Order: sequence, then structure tokens, then C-alpha cells
Amino acid sequence: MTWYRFAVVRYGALHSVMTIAAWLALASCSDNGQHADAVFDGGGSADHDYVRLGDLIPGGGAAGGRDTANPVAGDAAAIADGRQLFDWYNCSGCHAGGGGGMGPPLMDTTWIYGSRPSNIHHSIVSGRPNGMPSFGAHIPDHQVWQLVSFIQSLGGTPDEGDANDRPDRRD
Amino acid sequence: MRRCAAIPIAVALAGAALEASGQTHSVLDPASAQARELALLSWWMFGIGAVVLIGVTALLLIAITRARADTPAHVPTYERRRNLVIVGGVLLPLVTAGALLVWTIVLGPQSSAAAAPADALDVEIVAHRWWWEIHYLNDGGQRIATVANELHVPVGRAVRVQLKSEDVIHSFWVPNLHGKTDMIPGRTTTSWFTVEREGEFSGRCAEFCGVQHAAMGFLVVAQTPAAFTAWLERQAASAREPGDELARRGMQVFSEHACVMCHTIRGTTAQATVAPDLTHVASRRTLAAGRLPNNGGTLAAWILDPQQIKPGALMPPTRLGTDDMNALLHYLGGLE
Amino acid sequence: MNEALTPAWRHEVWPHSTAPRSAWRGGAWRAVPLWASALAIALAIAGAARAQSHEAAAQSPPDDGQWTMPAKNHENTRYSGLDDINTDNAARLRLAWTFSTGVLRGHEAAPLVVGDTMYVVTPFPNTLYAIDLSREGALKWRYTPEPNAESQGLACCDVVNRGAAYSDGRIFYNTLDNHTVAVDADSGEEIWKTKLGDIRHGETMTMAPLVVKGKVLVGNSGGELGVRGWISALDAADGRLAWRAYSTGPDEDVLIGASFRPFYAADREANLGVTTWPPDAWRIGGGAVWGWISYDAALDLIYYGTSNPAPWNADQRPGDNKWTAALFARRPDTGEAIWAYQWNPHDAHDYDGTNENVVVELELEGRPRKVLLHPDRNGFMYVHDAATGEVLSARPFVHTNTIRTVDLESGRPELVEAKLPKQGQTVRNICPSAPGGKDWQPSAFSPRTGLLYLAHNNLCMDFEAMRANYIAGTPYLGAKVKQLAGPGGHRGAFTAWDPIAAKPAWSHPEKFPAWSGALVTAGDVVFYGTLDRWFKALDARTGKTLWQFRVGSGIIGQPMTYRGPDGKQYVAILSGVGGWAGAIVAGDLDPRDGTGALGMVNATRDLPDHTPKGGALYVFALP
Repeated sequence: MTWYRFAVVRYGALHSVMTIAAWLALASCSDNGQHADAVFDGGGSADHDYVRLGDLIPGGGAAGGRDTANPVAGDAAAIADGRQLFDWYNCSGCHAGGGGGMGPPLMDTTWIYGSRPSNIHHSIVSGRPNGMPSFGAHIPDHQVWQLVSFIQSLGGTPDEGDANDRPDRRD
Repeated sequence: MRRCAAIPIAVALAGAALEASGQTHSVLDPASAQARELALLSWWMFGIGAVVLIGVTALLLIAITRARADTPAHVPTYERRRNLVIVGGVLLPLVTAGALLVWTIVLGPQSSAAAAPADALDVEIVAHRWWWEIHYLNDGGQRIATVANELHVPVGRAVRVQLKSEDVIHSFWVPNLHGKTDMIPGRTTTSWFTVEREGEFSGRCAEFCGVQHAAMGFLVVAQTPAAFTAWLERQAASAREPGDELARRGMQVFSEHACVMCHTIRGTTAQATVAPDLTHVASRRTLAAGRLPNNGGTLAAWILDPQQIKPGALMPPTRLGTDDMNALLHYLGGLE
Repeated sequence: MNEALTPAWRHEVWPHSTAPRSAWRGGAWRAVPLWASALAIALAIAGAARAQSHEAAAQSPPDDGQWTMPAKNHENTRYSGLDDINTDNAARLRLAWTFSTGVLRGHEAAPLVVGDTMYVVTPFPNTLYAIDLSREGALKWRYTPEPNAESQGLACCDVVNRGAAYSDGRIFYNTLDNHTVAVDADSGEEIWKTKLGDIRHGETMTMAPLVVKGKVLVGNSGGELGVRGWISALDAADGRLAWRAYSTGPDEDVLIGASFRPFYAADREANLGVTTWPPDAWRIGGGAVWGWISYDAALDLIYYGTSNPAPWNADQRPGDNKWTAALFARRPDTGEAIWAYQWNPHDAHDYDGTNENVVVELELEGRPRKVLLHPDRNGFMYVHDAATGEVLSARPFVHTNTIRTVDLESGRPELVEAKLPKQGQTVRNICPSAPGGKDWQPSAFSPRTGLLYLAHNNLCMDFEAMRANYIAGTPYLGAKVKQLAGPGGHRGAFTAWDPIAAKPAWSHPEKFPAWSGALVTAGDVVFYGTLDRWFKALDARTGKTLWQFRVGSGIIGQPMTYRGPDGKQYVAILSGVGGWAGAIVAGDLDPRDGTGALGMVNATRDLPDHTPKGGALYVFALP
């Protein structure tokens, strides 16, 4: 990416060079139109490449599957960002301020599809069968985690994170 | 992931250089009747102030040079001193400052929106962090066109702007055209101006509003009434349909990614309102609220990683492969 | 003529809400322009001619003890001519049999009875049950349309269904995922299934169809998701789309053509469905047709209303926003609009125009006049001339502070500026609240008493408006709302409204919003149900409670009555709390967040203490 940004900076004199440089830079990117799905981007063998919903594991053995941690856990700013995105992306239209409406509540301790950060992340990205839309590539991964942080801060999951001490509420 | 600070600085300088080249941004180069009056007042204030400064400095110099050790002290009488203080310290300032005060007070209502002529063009501007949402209104207050970051006005016709803010306090300022008017959330403030000559004038936000306050600029383009009408008609129309396969693919890329969550392209299902209206994005001279010139390369850079250009801006990076980016740029480039 | 309909009646009894002068249109009816009278007469003649070629099967039947459509008849009176159950013996009503639907969401449908069979439509998954009345409620068959489960995420106000309609051997109803189905009434076989909308645009369907002259009339839901509202007519024989009229957009889409004669001059300009909106906002402007449709055979007009405009935040859509929150009169054969009237121009309070328009004939100023009785969400009871749409009277039937009065000259409501929500501010104590003085719960009219019986609300709200972001398939609101009890502290009431005196005859406060339909019979008994599990029978004239029965779960359904195979009169009601008013129970919502369920949670926090979820049919009869 270095060539490319450099070319952007030198716009004033090198418009065409910048454009060409941009294309070269893009062409040199390794992926060709595949956007990485953060939930399934490698890590671990294929046998364990699933998101575990709960604890009911047959055979009584150890837990398998992946339980991705929230990369912005403990970040109060992420909770604030998540609150804004929660309104912007219309989550509040169905889930209100966490109490629910068209969608189930997110602030209580009942979780249909699991309460771990990875489960909430999965719900947002993949959608759920009874009406949760699949946001997929429409919400960038870091923003999904910010939403997860905000949802956790509502109090319905074991880990609430560090709440923003200046909530932007009007009433 | 802190990058070298030199690069954003260089970008800022490049942006500043871009803005400085070919565009005026000066209070002292008025292009509207209102700005002319303000400039005149400013010059008079400057002139009077200069005269006072020169006069006082001259008196000081005289006092310093006249006081020689070998001359007897010439102490003015009490009356002389008193009169000097009263005239020079009270009456003279009262008269000059009073005149300026009266002039300012008289000027105030004349430039407030209530004084705008009835046939003024009404424009509603909503400030966001860190871009400008602009709606053109018809006589009945109905919105007829929505654009972003670039305000076109007809020369010779009064333009009344209704100023609102979506989030924090911003301020609307086009130095060549008028003074600053704050945009306060929950209120509507108004201002008006009549541009007297064609040209492009840059404006910016004049009230600190967050991390990218310095990059919250916009462009005012003054055109002949005929050119303005043609431009407005085009902006009021829905987006052009994609003309070829590549553009159709580009439209698909637009709807498959985060774009539709925030942007509007009228005539498609993308009708989101939290980011600039892109229906005619290719017709604009700049991107990112005056930060970048508008062409394929800068647009690609902006889409891929806005945070490198405007750190803290509310648009997230969008990772696209070459083919997708190519198609998307082709589609957006057709939205004139 | 019944005495109750001929009081010492002058034009003063139809006053304007506040004006001391007699401003009632009827008092000035002599001044009605000649052309309007001529038009009315011409329409009546034309209507009478049409009525004769009218298919007998689709005509509202004289009371044969059946119940073939949710509103009983095309005029939507919900009045039954059966009088076995009357004010003397209603106290002895007892439970005859019950039937469990197997679903635990809000049950809003009206059971149908055709011959010996009862038909019940459940909330999602919209199963249709056929119950054999001649074998003591045995299940005959069931039909499962298997609607797309994702549509559950788009239902603003619970996954309800308002029922089916019977015509010519077929049962017609809508599924949540935008299909209209026709099922053979004897065998339960699916005859046709037509897809009409797209969940990706936020559309669903919850309303009960109306069958008129071989056409199945249906409309979409989704005013809270920025859909573009429409009404469609399907051919009853094969389910093909005969015509569709949108609620917004250019005249050709709204089927406004040469025949369009709105009563008020301001409604006559061309393409108001576009010009009263910001650019392209009408494409996502709401106006869904999720409520009741009525029909008058003599005038050959269908009447229905459109939902709120989208988004709820009105500052985003300056303009009158036609034709949302409006009443349309159309020809059922072609869909062409004959007249229209907008109850709430530029609606800012979610005052949908989808409530019923009951077609009745009233004796006004000494002569019979065909009118529409319409209790609107904005809390005013409207009386319209059925032929022209003229507003004859508009008086509040609940406490209101959003509209000062309805100007009968221009037809426009005079809005109270202080109660208009503004973006970025919270406006408090707006009455009535978003569900209105009355929401979908349909009223009943008795020609014997001359009264309109309505179960309704007594709610106010605090409303914070903010920018709404449109993302197809998600809510498009821009509002945070908290609802509260209205003056008096009771959140609902059941009222008997005298349309000529334009005031209530009697009214019963209810603890919770009274969210069920109403039924009135020739025995002068009126039935309705409450959210706290009571099914009640009242004396239609005096309002005295004759009988009540505690059912398993709150009632939001539509009561009906029929004559069973054994000759006895039965009354049936579905119980199963939910809908908008019962959302806190049906959706297991968290009471801590008052903004839940579009603000309803704040007003119904105690509802879970009064009713659990449920889903059952109750049938009552005399011993």
C-alpha cells in the first residue's frame, strides 16, 4: 500500500502517476475480490472451524470449536461507537434501547442464540432464522465488534465491559 | 497502528495548497453585497485604528524626544491636563467607537435573514461531523434537490440559507461571501447573501466540532442564473442508470457492501441518510468535504481507507479487490 | 324509524369541535353546490344499476347465521341479526367448547363460520384450521402455508393475522411473508398462492382480505419499515393480479385518472403523490394498506385508508406526504380512484389512516344519508358523505391535544404546534399517542340503537424525533417514544358513540388499552374482550355489564356470533395476548426499557402480571 498512499500525497503534480500507482498497488493486493469473513479467517484446523453456540458437547469431552474473543473488549470508546452504530444501522428500530420490540430484548439474560461475544458477532454477520437480518459484508468487522461491545454493556451478558461514563442520552 | 505523522501532514498541506490554488478564501476579497459591507466596516475600523495608533505613537515619540534633561519641566496646568484627558480619552473614543458601534448595529439587521428579499433562493444546510448536507427548497418549502459539500448559487439573486446541525455546534463561513453563522443542534439559524460575481469560493466550518473540524470545508460555486438552473435540474433528477455491464457490476458492489448502510443514490434502493448523497457524486469538484479533488484515484483511496486521509471520520474502510473497485469506480464515475 | 335515531335534531348537534356557531356541514347542506348533489344522485343511480348485476354470492347476506368475512358484511357493521342471546339471558352464557391453536402470539383474527364449518387463521405460521361444528368442534383439516420464517423479523406489531374471508367455496387469507392464498373450503386443498411483496423491502401482510365482485382485495404492511404501500386486487378464480394502486407516487401508479373527484380543492392537483414529498422520498414513504376495507354496493365504491408516512420523524419529509394517512374510494373492478381525503396531512404522530370506515345510513336533517363512520387514530370521529368524501363532522372521542379542530371548509386539521415532534427535541405528553385514540381494533354499529361501539385507547406519549436512516428491510423510524396512560389513569375504554349527537352515549374505562374488536347483536348485546383476560357482554343500550368470562390469555381478537347446526346461537372469540398492546408479553420484552415496542412497554409494564401468553378459541352459548 505504501506506493499508493505516497502517490495520493503527491497529487498536485502527479495526478496520472497517482492513478496508475493506485492501480498497481491494488493489482498487487493478494486477494481478488474475496472479502475476509472475520469469523472464518483461518486459525485452527478445519475440524474446529465452527462457532460454538453453547456447552452441550456430546461425548462429555472438552469443548471444541472457536470462541473468538472481542478484540475491543474493555474499550469504553468502542461502547460509545457501538451505541451510535446501534442507532445508525437501525438495530434500535427492532431492539429499542435493549428492551426489544420487533426483535427480542438484548438487555436481559435470555439469549436464543448464545450470549458469548462470538455468538453475538455471528448473529449480526450471519443473521438468524426467525427474522434477524444477515448484515454480512454490510458492516465492517471492527464495527461489528463495537456493536458487540455496546450490546454487552446493556447488562445481559456475563461481561459488561467498561461503560462509557458519559452516555449520549438525551432523556 | 500509528503511521508516520508526516504523511497526514503532507496530505493536509497538499489539500491546503489545492484549496489555495485557483480559489479565493479571503474576507478582504468580497464577492457579495453583504461581504462588501462587512469589508468596508473592517477597513474603516482598521483605518481608524491605524490613525489612532499612529497618533498615539507620534505623541509618545514627541513626549520622549521633547523631554530633555536640561529644559525646565513644563508641567501643564490642571485644566490643560483635564481637558486633554476628557477630549482625548473620553470624547474622541466615544465618538469614533460610537460611530463604529452604530454602524455595526445598523449593519446587523441588514444582514440578518429577515432582511432577505422575498424571492430569495432558499437552501437548507445541515452540518454533520464533518460534511455538509445541502437541500434546495422551492417556494413552498419543499425540497427539490439534495447535494453534499458543494453549494451552487446564481449570481445576482439573494440566497437565504437555513442552517441546522445534526450533532454538535458547527459554523457556516464563506469568507468571501459573509460572516460566520453558527449552526446549533435543535435550532435553525439563518443567513443570506447575494453573490455579485461568478467564481468558486471556499468555505469552512468555523466552530470547533471535533477531530476533523479543520477538514470540514465546502465549495460555493457562483454561476450565471441559466447555468445554475441547468445544474439544479440535473441535481434534482434521479441517478443515471448504469450504462454497461461494468457499471451494473459496480452498482452491485455498492449494494453488497457497507455503502448502502449510509449513502443515498436516488433511484436505487440505497436511500440511507447518515452520509453524503452520492446521486451526482461525479459532478462534484471535491471529495470528503473539500479534502480531496474528485477523480478515480482519490475516490479509490477514500473508499479503501478514509482513516488515512481523514482520521476519525465516520466512514469505515472498505476492502475491495481490484475488479470490484474498478467496477465501483466506473459506476460512481457515471453518476454525474 | 327507531326513536333513538330521531332526536330533536338540529344542525347545532353537529358542532365543530370548538366553534360556538353552527359550523356543521349538514346545517349548511342547502348550500352544497348543485354539482355535488347531482354527482351524488348520478352515482347513486349508477350504483343501483351496478348492484343489480352484482353476483349474489359476494353480496352481504341477510342474517343466515353465518359469518363469512371478519366484519360480517361489506359495510363492516359487525352487527348480527341473531337475537337468541339477549339482555335478559346473556348472564347465563357458558363455555361450550374450546380449541387450542398451538401458537402463543397475538391472535387478532375473527373466526369464520360457513355452513357447518368454522375457519380460524392463526398468527405466524398462519395455519388455517377448519373445525366441524356438527361434530362438536372436531378438527376437519388444517392447511399450513409454511411462510418464510424470516418475515417474523419485519412485523412491527407482533406476527398477527386479522383473519380470512370466504367467497364462493373458497377461503382467502394472507400470510406474513406476502402471499395471498386461496384454499378450498371443503377439502383444505390449496387452489392458488400468489406472491405480492418482498421481505427484502420490509414488506409483510397481516390484514384480512375483502372479496368484492370476484376480486380479492388485499394490502401490504410495513409503514414502520419504509415500504411503498399498495392495495391489490386478485382474481378470485386464479389469483392473478387484476390491478394494483399504490398509495404514493405519480397519479398513474395511484390509479388517479379522469374519474378522480376529491371533495376538497387542495386535493385536485396532479401528481400530489410526488410533489408533496422530497425527491424520491415517496418510494419509501409508507402508506401501507394493512387495515380494513369496506364496500358499498349501491355506490360501487370500496373504502379503505392508508398507513402513516415513513419515517416517523416528520422533519425528514416536508410536505403533505400524500396519499398517506388518507381515505380512498375506488371502483373495485378497475381500482380507479373516485375520491380521496387525507385525514392527517404530513402526519407526525404515526396516526395511520387504516381504521375501519363503517358504511351506514343515518337520518340527518330529516333525510337519510349514506355516510362513513370512521374513528381515526388522531382521536377524532369522522363522518363522511359516502358518495363524495365530504367531512360532515369531526369530533374527538378521546382526550386530544394534537389537533385543535378540523376545519370543515378546507377539510384540514388545525395542528397544535407545541405538540408537533421536532428533530432533536423531546416533546412530552402528546395525546393521543401513536396507537391513537383507537388503533386497528374494529368497531361495530347497531341499526337498532344507532350507536357505534368501539374498544379503544386512552394513551399519551413522549416523542423524541431524530434522523432516521433508511436501510431496506430494517425499521425506518427516527423516533424514540414512551407511551403513558391518558387523563384518568385508565389506559383504555369501551365506548358507545352516538354519531348524530356526536358524543358518547356511555363509556367504560378499562385498565389496559381495549384492543379487541367489537360485536353487537339484534339481542342488543355487545361483546368485547380485554387484555387482562375478560370476555364481556354488555347491554348495548345502557352499557351495563351482563356477563363476563375469564379466558386463558388476554383478548385482542374479533368476536363473532353464528347459528350452529343445532340451531343455537354461539359466540366465539380467539384469546392469545399480543399485537402492539400486548407486545411485552408476546415478545418477552424487558420492562426496564420503556422505549420497547415503539413505546408501548412504558405503558404496559404491569401487563405480564395480568396475563400470560396463550392461543385458544373459546365458544360460548346459552345452556
